[in-house]
Amino acid sequence: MKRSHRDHLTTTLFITSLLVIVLILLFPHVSLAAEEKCFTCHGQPDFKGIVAGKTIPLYVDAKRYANSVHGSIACVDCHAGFKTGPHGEQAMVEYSKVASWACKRCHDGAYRDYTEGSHGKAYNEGKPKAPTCVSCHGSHYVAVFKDTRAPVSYLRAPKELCGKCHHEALETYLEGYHGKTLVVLGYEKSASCSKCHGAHLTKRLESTEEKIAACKPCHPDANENFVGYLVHADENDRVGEPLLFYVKWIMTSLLIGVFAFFYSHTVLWALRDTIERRKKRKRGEKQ
Amino acid sequence: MSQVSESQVAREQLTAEEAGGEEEFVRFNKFHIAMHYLMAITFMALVFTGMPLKYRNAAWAQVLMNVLGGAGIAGLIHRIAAGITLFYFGAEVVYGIGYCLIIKRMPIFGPDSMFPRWKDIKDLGNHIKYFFGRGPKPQFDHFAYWEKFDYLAVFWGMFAIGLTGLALWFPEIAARILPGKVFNVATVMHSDEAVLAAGFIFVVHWFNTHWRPGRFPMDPVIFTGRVSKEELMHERSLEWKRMQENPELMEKKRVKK
Repeated sequence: MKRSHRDHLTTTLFITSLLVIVLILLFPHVSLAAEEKCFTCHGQPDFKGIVAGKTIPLYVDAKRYANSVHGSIACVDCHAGFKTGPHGEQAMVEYSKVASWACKRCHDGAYRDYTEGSHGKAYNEGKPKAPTCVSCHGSHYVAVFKDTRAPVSYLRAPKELCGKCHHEALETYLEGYHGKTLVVLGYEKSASCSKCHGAHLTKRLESTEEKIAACKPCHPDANENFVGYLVHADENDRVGEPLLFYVKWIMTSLLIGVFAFFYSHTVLWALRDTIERRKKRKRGEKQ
Repeated sequence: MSQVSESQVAREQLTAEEAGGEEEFVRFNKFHIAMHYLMAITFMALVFTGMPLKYRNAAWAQVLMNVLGGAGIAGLIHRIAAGITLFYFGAEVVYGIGYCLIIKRMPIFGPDSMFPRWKDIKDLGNHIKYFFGRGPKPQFDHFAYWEKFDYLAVFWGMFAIGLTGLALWFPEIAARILPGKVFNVATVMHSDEAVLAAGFIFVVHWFNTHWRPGRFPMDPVIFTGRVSKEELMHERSLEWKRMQENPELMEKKRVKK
């Protein structure tokens, strides 16, 4: 009884894996064959079109697309409502909204997080610069944060994505230990923007509770005092951060003062010693 | 008195000749030598692992970081060296207060003390006059004013760098009592003070003690602990005078061969 049950299970597993392997082997080819129609126009490098009054490139690298994570998905799975032949103006305008509904069909959790985060809220409020999925992940050659070559990768995102809009935040982040070690020196254990602010559920981190929650994954004992640390501190901001500004000012003055005094002390000493030695040598020659 | 000292010098020269070598005197004991070694090695380790973080955008910084094996390993080396620094600092405090002041009862403003006294300020003024050719070179005792400054600067540095470094090393513990902005202030102080220390040691200290004409590339006294009689007579004339007046001290400091 037990044995036959196991046999049954093994057979099922075997057939299932075989099917999966066959599907994996077949799928890209099948789908690519279907895509060929789109690529007759969109596969030409200089293919352009007018969308909302602007001429934009409409070329898609078929090979690169096929090798991307979404390489096995048909064009019309995302670009729904498009037919062969020149598309109507109406359908083309909708392309910017593709992300907001096409992606969620598969990535429901990420999409829900996105709509709850500040980026998604801004988009839904109609702010023109608010990022959608494709703003960070790319559209045709979709990348994830583990892909070290992509702008959305953990190490690159601060400079290549987040910082493109959040200029000041990037600057101050790069001055702090997190930014220095992660972005410039490639230390992956340090915090990237998304580590604290979230990737899909983006947060401004304004309340103390939010800040503590953001610090805790790396600093488990973080408390109210701990999060008073200014991750995005600007030591040149005299009005906003007078304490930091004056500490920096005092330290700089101390450095200049000490160096000015002791460097000239050393140089003058060396000069005098050389002069005295020369005098002695001359006297020695005369004697 | 000068007659006495001259005859003494003559007698000493004789004994030196008998011994078959130049006379030498003790300047630093084994503790001093060990402390300097510890400090020199850990200081350089701290500078080499810390500076690439401060000047991270410079090409050399990234090369140095790669040589060290990345920011993670550099951070580990930095913390090990910092731990040793804390240890030798504690040992120095125990030695200075416990051994020198309490057990040996050495006077705090005495000639062998690292503590600054009025004479040091006068020496500085006269030394600067000498630089401009407006007076004779001042005579120094066991420790000259720039040596005292070198030494005491480490104490100031330990507070500025040591305490801020500890706060940044254990931020969660520091945050139990201190507000978070302390870490911002500590970051600024730690890194600027480090530049001050490195710029001082690698230029002022190295020039003044190791690279002066006639000493280049380094003064071995801190590694051997011994100073020649000639150097003692010329560079530490007041100490030499004290030794001549006190034969017991002379014998005590003489290196027995």
